Amino acid sequence: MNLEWTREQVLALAPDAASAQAARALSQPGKWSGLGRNQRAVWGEQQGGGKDPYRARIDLQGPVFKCSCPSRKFPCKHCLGLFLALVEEPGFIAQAAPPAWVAEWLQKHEQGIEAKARKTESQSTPIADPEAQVERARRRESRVAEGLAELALWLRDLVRQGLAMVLVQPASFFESMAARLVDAQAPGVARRVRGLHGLGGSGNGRERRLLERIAQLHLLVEGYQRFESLAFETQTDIRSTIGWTVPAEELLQGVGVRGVWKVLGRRAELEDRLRVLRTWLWCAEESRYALILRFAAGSQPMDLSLVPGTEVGCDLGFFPGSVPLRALEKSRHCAPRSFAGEPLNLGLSVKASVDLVARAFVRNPWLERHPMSLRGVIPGRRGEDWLLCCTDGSAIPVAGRFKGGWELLAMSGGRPLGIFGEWDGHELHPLGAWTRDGFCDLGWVEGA
Amino acid sequence: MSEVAVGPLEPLTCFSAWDLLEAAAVLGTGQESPVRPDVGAAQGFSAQLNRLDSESRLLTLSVVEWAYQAAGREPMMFGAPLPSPAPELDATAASHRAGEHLQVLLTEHRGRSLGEWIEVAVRGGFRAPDRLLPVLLDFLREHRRWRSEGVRVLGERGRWLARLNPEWSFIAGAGDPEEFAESSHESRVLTIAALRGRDPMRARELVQAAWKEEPCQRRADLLGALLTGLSMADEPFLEGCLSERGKDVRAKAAELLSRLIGSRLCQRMKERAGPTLRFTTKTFIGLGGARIEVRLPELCNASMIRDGIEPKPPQARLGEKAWWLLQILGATPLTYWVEVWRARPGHIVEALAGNEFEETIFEGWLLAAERQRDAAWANELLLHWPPRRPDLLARSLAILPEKQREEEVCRRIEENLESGAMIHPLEALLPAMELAWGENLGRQVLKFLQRYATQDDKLDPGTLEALIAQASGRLPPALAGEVVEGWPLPEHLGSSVHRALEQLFYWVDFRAQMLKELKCADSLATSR
Repeated sequence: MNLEWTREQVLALAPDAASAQAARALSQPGKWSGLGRNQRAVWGEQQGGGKDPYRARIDLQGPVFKCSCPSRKFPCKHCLGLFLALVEEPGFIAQAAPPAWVAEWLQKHEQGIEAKARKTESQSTPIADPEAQVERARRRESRVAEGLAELALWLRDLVRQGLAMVLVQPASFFESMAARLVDAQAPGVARRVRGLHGLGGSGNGRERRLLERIAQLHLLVEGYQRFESLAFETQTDIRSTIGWTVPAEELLQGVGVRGVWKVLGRRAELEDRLRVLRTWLWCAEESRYALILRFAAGSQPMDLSLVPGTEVGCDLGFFPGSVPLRALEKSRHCAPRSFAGEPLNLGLSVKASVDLVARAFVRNPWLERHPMSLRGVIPGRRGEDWLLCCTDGSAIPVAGRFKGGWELLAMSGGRPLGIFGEWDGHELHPLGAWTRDGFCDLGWVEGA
Repeated sequence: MSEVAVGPLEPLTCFSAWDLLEAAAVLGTGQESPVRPDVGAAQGFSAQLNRLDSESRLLTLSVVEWAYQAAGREPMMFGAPLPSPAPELDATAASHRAGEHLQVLLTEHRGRSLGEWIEVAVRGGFRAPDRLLPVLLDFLREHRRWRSEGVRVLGERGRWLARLNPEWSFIAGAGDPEEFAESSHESRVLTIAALRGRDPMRARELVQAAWKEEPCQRRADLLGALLTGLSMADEPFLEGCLSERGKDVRAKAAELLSRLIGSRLCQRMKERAGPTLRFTTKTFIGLGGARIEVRLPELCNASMIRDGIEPKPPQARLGEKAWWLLQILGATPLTYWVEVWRARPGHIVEALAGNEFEETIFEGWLLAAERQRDAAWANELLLHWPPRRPDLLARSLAILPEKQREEEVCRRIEENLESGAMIHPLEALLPAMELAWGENLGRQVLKFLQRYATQDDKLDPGTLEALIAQASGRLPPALAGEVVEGWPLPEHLGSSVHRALEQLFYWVDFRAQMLKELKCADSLATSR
């Protein structure tokens, strides 16, 4: 099963380019001693600079990595090199019974998972003090209401002053409103207020986008004021936009959506000192997308284990809402395998895609982005801008921040290809592309 | 400020409704420009909207208008014509994994070992993978010296792509004789250089056809591209070029003609060279004690200058007349001396020993041997190179056929190893090793490095590092397994040498994997 991984996909796990290079150098089985593997794991020892060799081991069902080296990178070059050796020269790594240091780790690791599961169970048992919790919830409701009332006044101020004035305000102007919203326990709204600063950098569309965002916030305030009169889905959308989260345990208990999920692309962004990684999945049987969010603060390593071009069989639990996209992995029933070399039957025409996302934006007007798969588009260039065009002439603009326009054109050769990306209501940011030869992750393109 | 308002709108003109809202919002409601409630999609709600103040009204109208547009969004139309598709018939793209190596070479190593990637790819019939073509073209734009090599792996797809981006126009049409007339100057040079290998006559005819429209410097560039596949068929054209006005063109033509020993220029040089040297023997039995007498040329006249003799010496160490002699000898066929003196090259070179003009004449003959690719003379020159001129040693070595050159370099390294002293200065050998290494030379260099890695008092550390750096690009990848063995412990090495060695191990390994990927028989199957 481990042979389903490709070299690029393993290298895509590397936290940075230096680790990937170092791993390549370590990927020759000759550089290892005590190499071995079984159905579940692979392990080996690598003589580093010190007295004792570094012991690297990988649980292939994750994959989960562990190494005795002091590197703070994760996964470290030893684990990556070991993984590469397994993918590239599987014949050199004999089937064996795991030595004690591997077996113990696997066992401990498994116990850890079980303990977590038990913890989840115990958390779902009735809360010690239900009254206190109801009281806390009530307090938050009233704080949010106050915060949004303040936001309403602030928004009125913006349109009274005029957007021309707003556009030249420093970041601190938005930051102070955002900070008050954080105090009001409405972090989702705070993030959107912060995002008003420096919208789209420059260009004619700035005023338009600013007004749209302001209108969106206004709609949120209005919606919250009439909360009780709205449909349940819309209520959920409003609550999650404001920043109420559904406890993960609740999701994990519910019924999951089982299927083979293809990883179509991922994109990392910095949000208020937190690195956020959005990974997009697609399940053909269910005709449905899923978004997996992962976070890392500071120098904390990012979990990169869902690699574009691989598919994994698992159950996902979706966060509720009128357009449920965000999901958590509940359980996995099949190890990841690569689909990169296979033809991909996916995507709609430009017109159908625009229709589809328009419907999603209507159902949830606070949606920030929606996945989009285009079939049979040709990259075209107008001035400095790239567009993806169907043969009927209908086209979709490519985000200005995406720097791989020429790469897309080179891959297409002027013939139709498939593109997956994030649609923000105006532009598409491509994350993956496929031709008749197979799928190609665009994560390596600068600015992707 | 007038009132921002519009009458009832057709849905199709909703854009202007939004434009009006936007205009009002940019100015701000404080500017006394109340937005009337009957804008755009909100018609029909005027009663409710009338009750609102102007800020709320603007916000509410914006919400309605924005939602209305988002819901009914239509795709835009491209309008402009799309490029015609790339030719279907093309070289096979190298595999994704081979491409990965190319990507690393281009983006992280500024072209180190790029020549090797290209060479092996071309031999296997591959071109660069689609997705890397823009990276490759950008690299070629920034690194001019790589262009003639890089063109070879662009394939039809790459040339098609280059035509679509003005930034890559330097290369558009390169390598395609059909597009010669429309190509940029630089592409023309690349086309000629490539075509000379296949069809030298056609290439020269293209140059001749374009001659009139090209300015002087560009004519010289085009002539430079004729070096490949040079033959006596080119002689009449080149001889004509000697009468050109541009100095660069004349110099380039003379340089090429001096490589053709049958050319009229070479015949004229023979006449100039004849009176300058006299070969004398003391005894009539055998040739022992042979000497060469020198009579420096007295003047450098117009016809000599026309034939490419440069009147002013480039360095102070050479007198004017000696400089003229050197150039005359460099353009005189070496066979001439053998014929008129009835002596073997070995005896002729030997007779030079102790001569007042030894270095000048030696360098002149070496230049001639280089131009005429005369390995027999190079061999003799190698035996008698003047010790004060280590640069001439490497030049002599470079003329030898590959296998012999490698043996000669090997032998010299071996001698250095055995004697424990540097008989042959390593700096002088390095340039001769710029070409591919066989396994023997690779092992010899490794042995040498391992001996001297800890003895940098005997060897300049800079030279040692330069040799290690060279080894990292030249060691045959077949030695990738051996290269890491037999080294002194790291604590005995200087830190810079240690670093250089780490680089060596990494790089040889990288190249070994790179070549494996490129040669992979299943490249065809996995390419995408």
